[in-house]
Amino acid sequence: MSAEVLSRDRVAVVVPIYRHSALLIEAIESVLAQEAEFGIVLILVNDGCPFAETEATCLDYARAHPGRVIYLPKPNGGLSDTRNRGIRFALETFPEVEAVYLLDADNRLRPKALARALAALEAHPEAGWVYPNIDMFGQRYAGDYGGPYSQLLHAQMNICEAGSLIRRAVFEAGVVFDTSFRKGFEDWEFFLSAAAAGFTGVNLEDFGFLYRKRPESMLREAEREGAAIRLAMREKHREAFRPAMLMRLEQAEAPRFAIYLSDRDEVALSSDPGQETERLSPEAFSQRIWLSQSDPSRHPSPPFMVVATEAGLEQLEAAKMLHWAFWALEAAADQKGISALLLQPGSEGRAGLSQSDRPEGRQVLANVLMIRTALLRETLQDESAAWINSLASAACQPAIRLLELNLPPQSAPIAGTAVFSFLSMVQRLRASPWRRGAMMQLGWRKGDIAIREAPHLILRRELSDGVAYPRLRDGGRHVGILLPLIEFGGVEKVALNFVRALRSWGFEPHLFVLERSDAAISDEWRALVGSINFLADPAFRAWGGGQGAYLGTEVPGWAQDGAHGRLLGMLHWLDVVISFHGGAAAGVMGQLRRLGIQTVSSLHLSDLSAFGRPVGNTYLSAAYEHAFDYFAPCSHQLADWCHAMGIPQDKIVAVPNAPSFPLPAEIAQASLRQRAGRDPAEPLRVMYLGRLDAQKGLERLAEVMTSAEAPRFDWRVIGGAVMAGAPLPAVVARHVEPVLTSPEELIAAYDWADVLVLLSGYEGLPLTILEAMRQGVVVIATDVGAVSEVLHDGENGVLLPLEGAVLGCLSALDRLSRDRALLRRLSERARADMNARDWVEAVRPLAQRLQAGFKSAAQK
Amino acid sequence: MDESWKPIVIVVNSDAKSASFLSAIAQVAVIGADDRTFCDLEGNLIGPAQGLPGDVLCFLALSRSALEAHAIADRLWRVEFGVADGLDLEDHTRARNREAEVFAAIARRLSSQLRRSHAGKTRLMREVALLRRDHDNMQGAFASLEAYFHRIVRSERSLTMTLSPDPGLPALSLRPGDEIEQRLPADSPGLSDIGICLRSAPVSGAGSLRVTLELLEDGEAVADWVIPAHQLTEGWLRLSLARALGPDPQTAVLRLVWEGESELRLMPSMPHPDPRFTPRSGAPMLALRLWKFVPGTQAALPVDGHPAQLAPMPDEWNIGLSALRRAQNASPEPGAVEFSDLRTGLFVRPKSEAVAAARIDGAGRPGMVHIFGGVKTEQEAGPEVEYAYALAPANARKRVASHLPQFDQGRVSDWLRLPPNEWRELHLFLDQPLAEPHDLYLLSRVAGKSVAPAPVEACFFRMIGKTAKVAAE
Repeated sequence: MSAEVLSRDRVAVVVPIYRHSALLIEAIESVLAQEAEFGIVLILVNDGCPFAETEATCLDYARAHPGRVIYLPKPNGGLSDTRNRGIRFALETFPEVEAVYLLDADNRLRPKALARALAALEAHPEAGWVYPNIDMFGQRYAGDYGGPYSQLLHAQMNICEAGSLIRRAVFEAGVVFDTSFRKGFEDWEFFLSAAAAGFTGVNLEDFGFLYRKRPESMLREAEREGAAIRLAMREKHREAFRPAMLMRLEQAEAPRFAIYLSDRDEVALSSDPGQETERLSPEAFSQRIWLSQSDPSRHPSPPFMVVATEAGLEQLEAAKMLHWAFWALEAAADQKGISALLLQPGSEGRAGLSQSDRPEGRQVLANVLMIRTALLRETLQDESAAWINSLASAACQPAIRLLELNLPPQSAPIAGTAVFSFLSMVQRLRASPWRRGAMMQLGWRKGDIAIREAPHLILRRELSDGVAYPRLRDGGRHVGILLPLIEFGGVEKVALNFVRALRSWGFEPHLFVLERSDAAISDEWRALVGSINFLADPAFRAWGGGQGAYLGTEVPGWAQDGAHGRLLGMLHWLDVVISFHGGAAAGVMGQLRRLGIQTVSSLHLSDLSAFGRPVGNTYLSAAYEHAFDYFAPCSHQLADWCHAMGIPQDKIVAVPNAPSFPLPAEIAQASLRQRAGRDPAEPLRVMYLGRLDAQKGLERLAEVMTSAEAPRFDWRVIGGAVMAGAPLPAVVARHVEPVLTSPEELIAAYDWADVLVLLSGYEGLPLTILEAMRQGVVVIATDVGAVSEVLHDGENGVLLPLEGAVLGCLSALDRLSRDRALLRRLSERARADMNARDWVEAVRPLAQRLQAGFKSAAQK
Repeated sequence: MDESWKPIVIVVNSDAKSASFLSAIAQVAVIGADDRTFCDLEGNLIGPAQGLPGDVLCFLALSRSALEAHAIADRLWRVEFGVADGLDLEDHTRARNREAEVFAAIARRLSSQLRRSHAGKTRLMREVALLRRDHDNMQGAFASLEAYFHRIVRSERSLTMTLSPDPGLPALSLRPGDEIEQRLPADSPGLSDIGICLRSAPVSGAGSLRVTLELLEDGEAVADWVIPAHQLTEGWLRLSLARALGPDPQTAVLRLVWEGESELRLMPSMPHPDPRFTPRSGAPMLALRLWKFVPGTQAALPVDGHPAQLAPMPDEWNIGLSALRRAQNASPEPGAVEFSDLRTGLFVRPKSEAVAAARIDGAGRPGMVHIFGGVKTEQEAGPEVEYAYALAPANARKRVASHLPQFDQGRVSDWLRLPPNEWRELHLFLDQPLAEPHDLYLLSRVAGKSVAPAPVEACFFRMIGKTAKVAAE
């Protein structure tokens, strides 16, 4: 290196001074004593110190070392302003300076510190700054801040002391000290800004920085004001605390899961089990575990270990339940220490899970096992492996929660080897040559980054401590469909059609079942959604337990006072959440909005109380109007009702119901031909199709069926009971046929019928009516809900007042039986009116509003 | 201070020529047109790097227009530089004998600064004197504490950590020229001795092992040892510092360079996953022993320790617990010699007037003239026991047929007779300092011609060996 290069000033040291007039000399001398093969310029910035001694000392040194020590007085402006001034002066005056070191006036450096630090900066071209461990003198303490730099951890605690060597490029990128941070932690904020600008730090273990620790200091003052300063920091760096950012950082820096794939004998590290990750051999993983054991502050290891086969995980992925499985296992492992998942083929069209804390040996069959790494490490320290080995027996000593998940029946069975593979891995770890050494803490400094052992808790803090669903944002538009249950109800059917339509608009829907652990998940559901999830929270109840009411509807206890963390954690990663009569789920909508998620309430009908008073999700949603971005009523009538209840018009986006399955043109034509060719002398074919419960007016139906019987009328009753209630009337029960689920079955049923009878006490806008009308079935229905929006008496069907509905229905049936021309006219008009009704078009306005919401968020 | 340093006097552009007479004693800085920048008479910028504003003596007004400019500059001083009193004005617009008056004014200002500087320096010198006095007092107190320790406590370095050798692991082999580095698993304050363990002595006695103890944060080597290959034996090699490392905590690293002709094999202890603690990639940690003492203080060197290079030859040696532990039975009776952790002493149990003896190899170091230590019969009742020390050259071991060698005149102490349970100090004074390493024998026998019903619990405690320099103390 030439003499010229050797002598040029490559590092500028900036010392801000205020009131440390006497101690300042030690700082100055420590800089002058630096042993380096490059020039170092020292800039003493007097922040308007009222002590004359400060200026006198600075001037003496500046005069004694001209060109090497520079004195820069300024009016008092605070520490941040003073540092900025010195940095600006250094970079402008000394163009060859490559990095700036910030030394507080009461601290010191060891003689080789700056040479070593600059060498570290050169060795790490990707680093924006080099930061030290904190060796304190005065009140002695030595804190170890070593280990890989983590922006995730840095957002939680100040891991970089101001006494760092910072590359010029950081300042040239516009990163400065924020002068509004006057009460402390200004260095922490600075480094967060640098990280936000894309820079990272690197720790230099033997930096040689010495921090003067006294019982009373600016740091002490800052700690007293800690809460307020942290709040200000969060406000300024909001992006850094967003769940999406924290999840991304977790994936990159501190993956949550170590997934041992026993069929590949590899360990994958990841937070998102669906993402490509770092893969390790078992030996390399063993070294990581033991390294983390020996010094958890420096060396990270994933907080959960998972044992599975790649085939098993692929099966979960095919069933659209991979991420949910990891989430549920993590929640269970949190409580018990160990959780396990047993996969088995279930019934056709159903999915569900059960949980048990007393598996009594069934855990041995598990396909996936998860254990908290902290518990794993404890077992590795045990003298004997007997305790953990008992996992393989019925008398299992470790606490464990077993989840049993029913997969589609066609799923190939996968051998449950997780427990044995896990115990085999434990044996390998226990036999590791690292084991004895790793039990000894060899470093002499105290590890100060305790949170490195549990980085997964960082994201949880943003979610009311709920377990964070392990899924990264991927730029797609993910929509959560929340349903309390999925059986064969109308709301579920509407949701399914919503999902199909949302897909066509470029969204990816995901299904969340809130209240049940078992659901009717058809192949169509599975094909249309990106994932299937169960909340499985025994504390969640859609209704009940409330202390107050809004407009006569009870506000559910869970909505107001429940532990929302679990649901928040499950939904945090979505872009949109649509609650389909989710009841108490309304209680988290405000929190979801604050996370940047668009929230929608899909409304269908008001329920009736025992005394006939309207209640239910419609009123509850109005109570939580502030928490929803949009309301999506299923009819224009319901939309008018929403506005009348005080919901702003701009928030109301009607999504009128449409038939729940497509009717191909050729089938429609065939249906038309078939209907036209029917013999008018045949009995009138009358059908009821729907749920068999009190809402549907079954007692009225029974009365009609009793009077309108063969040979003039031929009846079919198709449906199943969803909710427990009174037994079916005998005449109805005699005709009951099983539920029809497939479009083909439904088309055939509508083809058969001449008339559909629906004498409900209350409704929304039933899909059955729309589907029937589309195929030319004449509908006789009570004028409840939004039925009159589509059914016009005497034009395309028969609309009856609820009062006198039985007589009205009998009269209409009689008329239609005798006047087949009337039947035909009403049929043709019904078909024509339903032709244009289409889910894709129905969802369009909502889809456009949601997309506009994404654009607006991106611009902010 | 730089020889070329001058105070700065500020003038307006129109006064620059008139003020040039000041160049001999001051730097003239001319305000620029923007009222914010300053240049010297050659037009070079003057800024903080050149001493502005700290070195500015005053604003010199030689013309009326300068007075207006001063007001602007004064504001700059207050607002930009935070100088509460602003920029002093020297108004010589009406001066008759301008040069003389200006020189006089500058001289007055400089004198005033000089007086303040003198006062400041005087105060600093007084503070230095106070600190020096405090330092002297503290050093004296510390020296007293050290002396007390050595006299009363028989200062023993504490074995604070042992990473035991694992014979089941392959030894770490060093070929000639190899260098390895072992980070020590402890902080540095008080570190006084480091032990490494050799699997075997090197085949060739040529060459040496160089060991350096370095403190990472300071980047300094604090001690060096050079052990000739022929002195390396199987087992522990203890490297001792004359003064324990000070209280400033740093990371200590041992660097070993093998400059022998054959292979040197070091004992491993255990593998460790942290590569910072492995001397070589994939290798286990070295077997280590670490001793500590009061940080920054001297303690008598242990007889089994190698002193560091350039350390002054020790004046006294500690024949302490580590030496007592390795004492060998030189008695015909097996089991007569036993170290007791409970008593922190070595039992040498006689049964009769026949001498029971323990031998500590190499405990008599060259230069020693005086060895003393405590003895006691650790039982409440029983016969009286006689105690003695003796020295014999190390090579006497091989010639000995009986269990004790022939001790030379002046190499055996008088027998000290003690009743049971009474502690006394035993002394061996040599008429000549030892010229070569000697083995130390600890001798005991039952007094008189009686035979004890059981071996008597005669116990030897740690000893100090002094050279002639300090033996008189």
